[in-house]
Amino acid sequence: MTPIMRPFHITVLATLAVTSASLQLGCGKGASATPTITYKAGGNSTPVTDGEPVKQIDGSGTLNGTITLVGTAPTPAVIVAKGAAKRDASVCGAAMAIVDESLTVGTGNGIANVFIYIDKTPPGASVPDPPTTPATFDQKGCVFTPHVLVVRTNQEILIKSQDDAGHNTHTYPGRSRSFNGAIKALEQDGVPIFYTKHERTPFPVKCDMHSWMQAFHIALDHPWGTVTKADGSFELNDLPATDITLRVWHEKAGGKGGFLKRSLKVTISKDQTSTQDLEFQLSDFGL
Amino acid sequence: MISRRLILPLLALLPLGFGCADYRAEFVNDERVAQLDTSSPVAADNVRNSLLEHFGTPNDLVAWGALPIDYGEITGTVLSAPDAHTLRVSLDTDPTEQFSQVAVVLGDATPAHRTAAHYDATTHTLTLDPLHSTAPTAPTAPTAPGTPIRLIGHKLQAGRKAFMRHCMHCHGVTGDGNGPTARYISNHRLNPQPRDFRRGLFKFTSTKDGYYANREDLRRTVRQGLAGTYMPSFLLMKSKELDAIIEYVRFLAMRGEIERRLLAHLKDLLPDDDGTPPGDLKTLEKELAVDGFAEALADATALVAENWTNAEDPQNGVLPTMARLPDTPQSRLKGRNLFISTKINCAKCHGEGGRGNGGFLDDFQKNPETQQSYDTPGLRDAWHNIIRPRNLTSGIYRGGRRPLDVFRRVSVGIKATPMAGFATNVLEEDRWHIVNYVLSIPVDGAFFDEYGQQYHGRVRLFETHKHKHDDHDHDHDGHDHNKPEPSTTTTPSESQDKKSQP
Repeated sequence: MTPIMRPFHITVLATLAVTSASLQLGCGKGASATPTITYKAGGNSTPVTDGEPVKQIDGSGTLNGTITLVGTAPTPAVIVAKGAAKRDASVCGAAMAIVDESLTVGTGNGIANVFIYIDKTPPGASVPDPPTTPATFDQKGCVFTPHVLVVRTNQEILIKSQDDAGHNTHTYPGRSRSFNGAIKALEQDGVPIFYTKHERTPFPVKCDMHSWMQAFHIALDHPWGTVTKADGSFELNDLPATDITLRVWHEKAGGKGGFLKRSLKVTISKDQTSTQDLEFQLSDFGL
Repeated sequence: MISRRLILPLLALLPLGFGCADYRAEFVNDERVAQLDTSSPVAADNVRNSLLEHFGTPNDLVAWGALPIDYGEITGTVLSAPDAHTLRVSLDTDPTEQFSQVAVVLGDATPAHRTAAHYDATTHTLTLDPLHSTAPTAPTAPTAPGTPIRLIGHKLQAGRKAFMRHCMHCHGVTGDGNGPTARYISNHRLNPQPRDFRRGLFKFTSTKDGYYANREDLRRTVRQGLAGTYMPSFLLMKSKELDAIIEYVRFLAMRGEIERRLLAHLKDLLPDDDGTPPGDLKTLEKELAVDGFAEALADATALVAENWTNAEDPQNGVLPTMARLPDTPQSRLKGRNLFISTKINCAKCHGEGGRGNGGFLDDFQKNPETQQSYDTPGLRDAWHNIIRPRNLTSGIYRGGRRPLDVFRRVSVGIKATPMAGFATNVLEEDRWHIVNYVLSIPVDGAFFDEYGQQYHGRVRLFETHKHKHDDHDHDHDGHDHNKPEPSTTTTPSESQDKKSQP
């Protein structure tokens, strides 16, 4: 070994030593060679009840009201001006401009498209069967109609189209299976879909082919849910005559969709009509 | 001179400066759990603790019976018990070598939970680990002969081992798609990120719209890889190891999905974007994180279990009811006409020439979780990544290139992406025409550009009208006469193309 080589060897040895030392020091908790397995039995999912039979609720009542905006409603933005669509121009926005429907304020500052529903069926309330008539979810001029839809779980929804252009309907439910199916031009028979699970909040429905197309659906395992009309009014019939908790949900609440009121407690009396008028500020909608 | 000699050893010290977080054998929680910590530590703790209780850590896994996972179970009977930690057993199947640290469940009514330390196949002797026991008091009494015994978890164990060896680098210890190699993939804008399993969603399935991937789908993806992506093929892997990996991937997916559903339940407790906690925090905390938490966990578990169980039901698979139609020029042309038709809109994403450059890519999509528009145009998948419609001229199909694979893609779409299923509006026969057309696109000379003109290589052929009358069986139904007449693939242009090949 020549003396010239020796410093080089020292360097190499030192490098190797420090590398191995740093590898051992640097990384601590690695994966063990063989993980230990613990078994946990799947719990009994039936809820514990105290055995006392739930008393049936006697009678029903009605709740109505109007949801209004305090202050000046913003002018809805035009998404596609009449006849100015980049694609499918003979269909999308051909008859009228497509406007942003995320906050629709009507006469008397009534807020349309607000969901009002009971989340959990009150104990002792009798729940009628879902209607056998299907709900219709249509599209016209590349706009979903209706913009908001309340259905029962397992109620058939027929997706139709009055547009001479292809669409797809893409749902984003929280608990049910999602759906993403193409809808052919002028589909009149309707493509049937179902939501098999009760949903806790409304969820968006989109058309990926026309990015502005958006609607909101909710499926409930009871009939006590509705949406406000163009003038902000709503009516819920045949509500169980008891203390109920309503959710008030809007797609722009807080700017990104959520509850305007998480728990609206109302007492329903037999054969009576109660009224609940609600007012919201622009700030409630993130504006 | 000395300082120069020290440069290399000093460089070797560099790794000490970097963190090793990627390599820790820990399940990482969703980042929203940390956010939840700032507003409601009770809720955050509940999420963390329930995940730990039901799934454990990578080194101490929990096999939870509530989920449809095959953890690997061997049943048998205790023959005799020389002492509290030794059992002579009769097992229904022989365990493999190096059988240790699996769960041992003794008895039926009030089972005692132990851990196996060692199994001797020649003497049928199972040694129990004296340190691991879930019994309230340290087990001292020997087990009675005739007690049923279940050894649970050898497959989960094998899956974890193999996952750490083969998959963790990209998919991460947690299956969140954030392994140490993922950062290099994310530098490649057009490549998909390693799959984040935590939504329970996998793109390429043989199941109907809305249904999850079944085991066979996951097995196919691991065996074949995903062509055109970083996901390699593991074709040489032994089927036993592969099966264990599939179960472990499902385990991680279910863990992530339950975490996700719990966080959805606790959503209203999360602070605002600027960190402000919700106004009625105490009421909400009581309702969601204390009183309603167990119910939310049970609900999430039931939904996850149901989704993964349904995926295995053969009734929810997609199989054609008619054989593929013969791949004739007429069939391809029918498929082509459907492809460019604005009534079903394939070309709006995939482009008229099939190059994945359709006009919809210029649109700004909305995030379905926040209702806000994304800040860049383009189609998005469920993980909010920008995705490109497949360039059909490349001949690379991520979900498989068998006609059946393409038929399934056309019929039920690609899960968690904007690619819709067309079974709802295109007859099965017509879907086969589309398959025949799509599979013909990469064949030289068989595809058309945005103007309906035929391409071969880079040279555009302007002779499409010339051969129109050669095709006597031409079906002109639904044909768009405003466009130049596309020719079919048996025209002389094809033989001409072949001559120009090197």
